Amino acid sequence: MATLLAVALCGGCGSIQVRKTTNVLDYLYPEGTPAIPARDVTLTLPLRVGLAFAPAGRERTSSSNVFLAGADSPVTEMHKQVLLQRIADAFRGRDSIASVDPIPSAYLQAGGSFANLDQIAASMGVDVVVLLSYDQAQFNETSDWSLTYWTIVGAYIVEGENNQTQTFLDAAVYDIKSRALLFRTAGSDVRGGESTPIETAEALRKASEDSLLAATDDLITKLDAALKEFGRQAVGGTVHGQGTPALDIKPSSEYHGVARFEGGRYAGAAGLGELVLLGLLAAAAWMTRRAA
Amino acid sequence: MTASPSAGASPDAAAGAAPGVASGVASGIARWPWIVATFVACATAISLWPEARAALVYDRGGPPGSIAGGGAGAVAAGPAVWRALSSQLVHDASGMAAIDLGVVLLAGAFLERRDRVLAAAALVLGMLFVALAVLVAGPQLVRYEGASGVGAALFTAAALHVAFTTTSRGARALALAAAAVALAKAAVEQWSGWTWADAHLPPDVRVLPAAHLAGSLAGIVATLAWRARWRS
Repeated sequence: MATLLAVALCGGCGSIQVRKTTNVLDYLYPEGTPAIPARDVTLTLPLRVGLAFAPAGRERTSSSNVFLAGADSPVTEMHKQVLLQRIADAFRGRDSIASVDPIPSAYLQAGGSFANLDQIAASMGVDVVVLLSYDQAQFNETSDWSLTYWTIVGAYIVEGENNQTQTFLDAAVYDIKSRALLFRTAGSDVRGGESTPIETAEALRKASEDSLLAATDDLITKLDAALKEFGRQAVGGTVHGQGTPALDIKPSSEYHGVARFEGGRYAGAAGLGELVLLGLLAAAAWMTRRAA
Repeated sequence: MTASPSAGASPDAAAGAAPGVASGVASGIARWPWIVATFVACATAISLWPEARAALVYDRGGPPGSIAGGGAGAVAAGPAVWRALSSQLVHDASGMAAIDLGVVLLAGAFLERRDRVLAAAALVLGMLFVALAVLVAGPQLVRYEGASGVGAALFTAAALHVAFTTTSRGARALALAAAAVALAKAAVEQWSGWTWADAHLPPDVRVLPAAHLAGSLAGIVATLAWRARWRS
């Protein structure tokens, strides 16, 4: 009865928002922590990679919808592990990556900063960590069909609620030893749908999970491209170009694979310099003939 | 290591250059540079034939573009070592083929017409040195192609040959400067990673400066060996 009353009262209401966020910077640089300058980076192949969501200490959820009890619940640890496993599976079996291990959230302390990452590196044996953070916003607007909610039956059968879910999933790849951000990228997803007011909480919850999954798939594609770009940059010997920490990638003694951070395509290509030099040679030959 | 002991009417010989050298120049001056021409013809044919390119290119990985891909199978199989040699006949891009083979043809024909044995030695040593550079280039190199290393070997040998055989001081200085600049350019490329030759390459292909450096060194070694043999 209370739900129906709420439905009736809220018919024609404006936008309702549910927001869930975590933040990598809150974890690495909690309030009062001085910025830690990155040192030069040495990556030894094959890499051992850890995957984790930034801890939920600062995870923020908010909702103003009386129907949506539960829709503003944080992303569960079980769901996070599903997403991490999905990313790990996409990057396993590559020559330059020895292992990709999801790290349970319990291992990451809120505001733990790099000291916490050092503990993880020591205990789990990872060199590089991929820290994920997300920002998901869900909007619910009631359409004109909400007038049918007054019939009570309408609240059960008329899909007068327009829902939209926007998800942004960010991945920051850090070399733990040097504290350097190697690269970052993000995946995103936007999806919409309609529901009856009675089903809205469930619809938004499902949309939240599906959208995170789709953003994860998008992130996997973007990570692949970012890894390639990082490899190109690595050839120059720096992390992000001039003025950033030096980067050295070397194989370990037991590594027999191929470092495929970049396309790895090389050519012995002549260019303008060689043509200029040929001109010098021609001039020398001409002078020889002339002298004779 | 002169091509032939026969003397001729070369400018160098006429000007009183060292007999062994002069004879090499003399015997080679009228020759058709068939060694270099054959190399360029083979490389051109291979570069126009996709199946031949795929068979001869040095590629340690899986399909192009599959970064961090390849997988254990590709690594276990690996490319045959001889592909580090044959890949120097492969050019995937027409612009790259035109410039690489143009340099090989011009520098090589110039040298072979002066001294066929030195040209052959520079070409063979160039291919071997570049192949070695490719094999030890490190794990970042997955695929290699191109004849610029051979071009560098032939050019350096040609410049040094002119320097050692000419009687003109100006020509000698110019030729030595050309050889020195070629070597310095390769060294700067190797240690700085900066190259001039990126513009005409496909966007996902990078120059391997070590190939140019190896080629230039091969040219020097070939010329010094040729000179040592002549002196002996």
